Amino acid sequence: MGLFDYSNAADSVEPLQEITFLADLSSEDWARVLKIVKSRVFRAGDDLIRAGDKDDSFYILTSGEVEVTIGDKVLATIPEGSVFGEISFFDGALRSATIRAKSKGSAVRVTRDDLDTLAAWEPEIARKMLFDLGRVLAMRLRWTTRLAAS
Amino acid sequence: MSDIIKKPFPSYLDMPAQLPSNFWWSFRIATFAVMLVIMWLVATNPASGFALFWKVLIPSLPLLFALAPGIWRQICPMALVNQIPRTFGFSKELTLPVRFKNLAYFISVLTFFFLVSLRHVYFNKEPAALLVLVFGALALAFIGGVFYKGRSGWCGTFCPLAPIQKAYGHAPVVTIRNGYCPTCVGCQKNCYDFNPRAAFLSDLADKDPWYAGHKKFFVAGLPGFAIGFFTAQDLAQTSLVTYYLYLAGWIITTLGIYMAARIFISVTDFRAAAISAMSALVIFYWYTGAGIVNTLGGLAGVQAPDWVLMLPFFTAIVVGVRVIFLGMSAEADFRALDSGKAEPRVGVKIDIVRRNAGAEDLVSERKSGRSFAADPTRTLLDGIESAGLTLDFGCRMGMCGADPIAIVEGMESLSPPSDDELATLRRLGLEGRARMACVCKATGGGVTIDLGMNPNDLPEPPPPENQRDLGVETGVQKVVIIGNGTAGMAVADEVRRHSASCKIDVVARESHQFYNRMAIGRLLYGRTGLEDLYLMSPEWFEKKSVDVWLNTQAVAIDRDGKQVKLGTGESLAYDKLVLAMGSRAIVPPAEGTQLPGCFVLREAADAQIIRAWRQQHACERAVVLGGGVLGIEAADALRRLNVKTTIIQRAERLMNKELDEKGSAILRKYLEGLGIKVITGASVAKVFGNARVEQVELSNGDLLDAEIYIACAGVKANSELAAAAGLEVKRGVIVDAAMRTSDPDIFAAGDVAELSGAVSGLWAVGTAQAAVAAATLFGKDASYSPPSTLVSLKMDGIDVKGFGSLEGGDGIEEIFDANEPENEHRRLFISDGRIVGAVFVGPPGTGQDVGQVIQSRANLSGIIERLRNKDWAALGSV
Ligand SMILES: Cc1cc2nc3c(=O)[nH]c(=O)nc-3n(C[C@H](O)[C@H](O)[C@H](O)COP(=O)(O)OP(=O)(O)OC[C@H]3O[C@@H](n4cnc5c(N)ncnc54)[C@H](O)[C@@H]3O)c2cc1C
Ligand code: SF4
Ligand code: FES
Repeated sequence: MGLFDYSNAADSVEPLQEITFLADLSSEDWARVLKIVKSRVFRAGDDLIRAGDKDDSFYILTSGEVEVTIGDKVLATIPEGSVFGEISFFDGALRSATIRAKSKGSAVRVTRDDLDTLAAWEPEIARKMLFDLGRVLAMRLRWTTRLAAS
Repeated sequence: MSDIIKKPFPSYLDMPAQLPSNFWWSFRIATFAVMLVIMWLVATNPASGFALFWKVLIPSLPLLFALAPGIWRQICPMALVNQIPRTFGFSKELTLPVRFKNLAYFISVLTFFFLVSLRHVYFNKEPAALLVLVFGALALAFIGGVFYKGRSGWCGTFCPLAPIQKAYGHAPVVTIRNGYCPTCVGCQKNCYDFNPRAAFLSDLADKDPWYAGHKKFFVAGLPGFAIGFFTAQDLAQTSLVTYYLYLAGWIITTLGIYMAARIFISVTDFRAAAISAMSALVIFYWYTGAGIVNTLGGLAGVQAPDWVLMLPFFTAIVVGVRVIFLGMSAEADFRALDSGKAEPRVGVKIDIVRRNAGAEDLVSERKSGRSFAADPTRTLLDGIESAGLTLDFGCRMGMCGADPIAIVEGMESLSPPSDDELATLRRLGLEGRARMACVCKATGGGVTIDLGMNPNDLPEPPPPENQRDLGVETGVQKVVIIGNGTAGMAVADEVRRHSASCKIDVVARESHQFYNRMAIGRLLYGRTGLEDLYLMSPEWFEKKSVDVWLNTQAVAIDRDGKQVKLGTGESLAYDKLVLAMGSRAIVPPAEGTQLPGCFVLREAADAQIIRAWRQQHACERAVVLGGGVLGIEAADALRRLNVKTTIIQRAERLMNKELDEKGSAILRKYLEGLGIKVITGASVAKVFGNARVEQVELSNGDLLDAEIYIACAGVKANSELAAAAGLEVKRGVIVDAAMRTSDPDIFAAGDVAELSGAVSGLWAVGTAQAAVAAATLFGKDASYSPPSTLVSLKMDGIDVKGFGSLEGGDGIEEIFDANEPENEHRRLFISDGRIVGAVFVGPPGTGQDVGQVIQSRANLSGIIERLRNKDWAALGSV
């Protein structure tokens, strides 16, 4: 499970389960990003994403807690600090689940247009962002593969 | 731990250091000193030494282990000596062989049971024995540190206190970061210092039954050991063998209970272990609690009341229950992870992101139920977009009327409207009920808007009383307007305000009601239809009884008969006629521009045709002639339609009329970053193709492949009709400041009009001239004063504002920051406290404030010092 992944230790075997998105971005870098992408606030019960919506954006939950629901079923809870929604960001397909706020909070929403804009202003940050999103996808893919295998 | 993502099992590397390392070093040394003092007491004054050691110090540890084990891991004297070689760099840093890693726990458990049991035999009463024990342990810890790396020589392995720390502290109430390992060298298995919440769980779940078994044995036997230890007969009265048999009996008893519980009520290993460990904790304080209190009381010279004697015991119960619950939640997380079900988590450095994201008060949107931050530096339109909602907009300057929003609540928490916005609201008949989202900002909370509501449905303010009817007074009863653009429709609106009775006819060549011409680019790339660009609701025309003749051309003006002849053969009689025919795009002469695939972008129909063409012929490349606002916006629209576009600009830089060199350069770099190519200092010489456009040849000889060619190279007034009617016409229809043409009954406004010395070709100019024309035609004295002629690029992702003249001179002060970032450019020219020229180019938000200041023509004297210090935010406070 990677709980004892002593980074440079010889006996660590499992892959990392947790990624810090854009870990090496400084506060100033983030300030620049947030000039271009928009931050969104919500109240408990608001839908951030609705199943069936077409929306090519991903989110960074900056405060509060949200849950993933399909119909009345709650599938998972997403805690503060998480990155989610990146699949539709890439393929632009309809959202498959609704993300509903459990508490009031805020999220940064990054659309594909935002990434284009970011790439024009801050190519280096945009490149990192895209690469990290790829990493996120890869990790989640590995996870599903493993689930399917087990 | 607020600035890390909430991982279920954060390792110490994920935790911030709560306290500086100096603090911990002082604390460690202090603890070490206290220990030495107690040992000195044991040697010199055994009674109080033993009391302090066995009745206070040692009995306090279990609670500390359960509450905040990390504190002890930081300050333990044995850890201190163990880590000295590592800290001072003389440790051999050997790796503990795997066999020992697996066995260490077992060894430490046996040592623990054995040493504790010997308390009754030696350590409770023989000062020498206790001193040997303590200093022996310190020596071993030190030797371990000299040879083995990390904390594997003692703290996490052989230390007899390690098992008990792991068991009591398996789900710490308070987590303190490991302070000894600057980097982790992975020195031991399931390291408790590495991941306190996961260590014990991982131990119990280990695949090696022998390894996991040691842990179970220890916790299961612990309560029994405690009972046995505290209830054993005095050794004076029994033999050593009986004593050990008695202890073993108790250990086996609770071990049995543990096994039975596992078998019969199928409680998980972890829960059974947690309950077992916490029972041991409670049992421990049942026997030692009163002793602690009494010893402390004795030292302080007070007699504690009975209930205080029970305090440690009750505290142990509360802490025990708390730890069991924490443990259960850790177990749930652990199982989720273990089963592979817990989705891998992705997080950000939340504090940093949040610090930069800001905002507290909310604006609610009723239809969607969403809300966004009330931010005095961002417009409602920005907020609406940030909430993932859409609203069609046009000029983004409060002038076109594209984005009125119904304010249901909280009008008072909005920024006051500028003159431009007020004029727009007035034209839309929405004063006091709506605001233009593109310029209005929420300065406080409590605002509710409703995007689903037509602002016209909000209660209307009562009409002004004693309204005069200038039409009746002056005998002007028939007004005909040619053209239904902004100039024409503003005339219609103003005429109706002056006269309720006057008949108003508008002749319109296009087949659409008044729409937002500035936003037709959106028809090119967006899936939305023209409906979204309409600027007036159908009810408006009815309510104002304005007759619009759509799809109808005015073909001649019969000035003598005061009639306008229509292409349909009909004619319209007028008392007063207003010409608002606007202008059309020029296609600079070049061979081949008559080929299909050559376009202009002036009307809604143009945009629709280009979009259809792009699809019909799967066009991939385009050339746009013209590097002004229109050309750039057209290129951006094509880009969004996934067409690779090149802009050809005759001048040496983009938007050369409005921007200076640096401004143009930033803009160019941005466009190129988006994939739009820019060629300057060139023009189009020739357009080729078989049946349609295939290539474009530039004046410099370059050949570009392109299936679409759009000329955005300026406009020409639609003044032919006027010229044919004998009105004075040069570039446009000549008017005076009252918007009169050379015929006293005919007026002109907007792009078609030419007023000497005045800027034309802008939306706001048309609207302002219309008001003057409407007043003059009723005989009122009115004179045109130009509105702000701020030019702003309507493109997402970049702010480009240009205004006035960029030349200094007498009495003109120039302000700019020589050290500004490469990506941003701001230059202001101020005369008498007012902005007379400006360039603002940069990422979104760069020019918003300056745009509003220019539009409001505010006086900047109050903030001029701040501006001189390049405090551009000052512009937002005007
Ligand atoms: C893509 C684009 C972006 C623009 N962006 C901006 C901007 O950001 N800021 C800004 O200030 N300005 C901008 N403009 C310019 C602005 O749109 C014009 O200045 C404004 O529309 C002029 O208004 P008008 O009423 O004078 O003429 P128009 O809007 O041109 O309207 C004239 C109408 O009269 C009709 N007409 C002409 N002849 C006849 C006839 N014989 N019979 C019947 N009807 C006739 C025309 O078909 C047309 O519908 C932009 C223009 C375009 C095309
Ligand atoms: S495993 Fe890492 S954290 Fe644990 S004691 Fe060794 S070096 Fe320190
Ligand atoms: S009035 Fe807001 S976009 Fe034009």
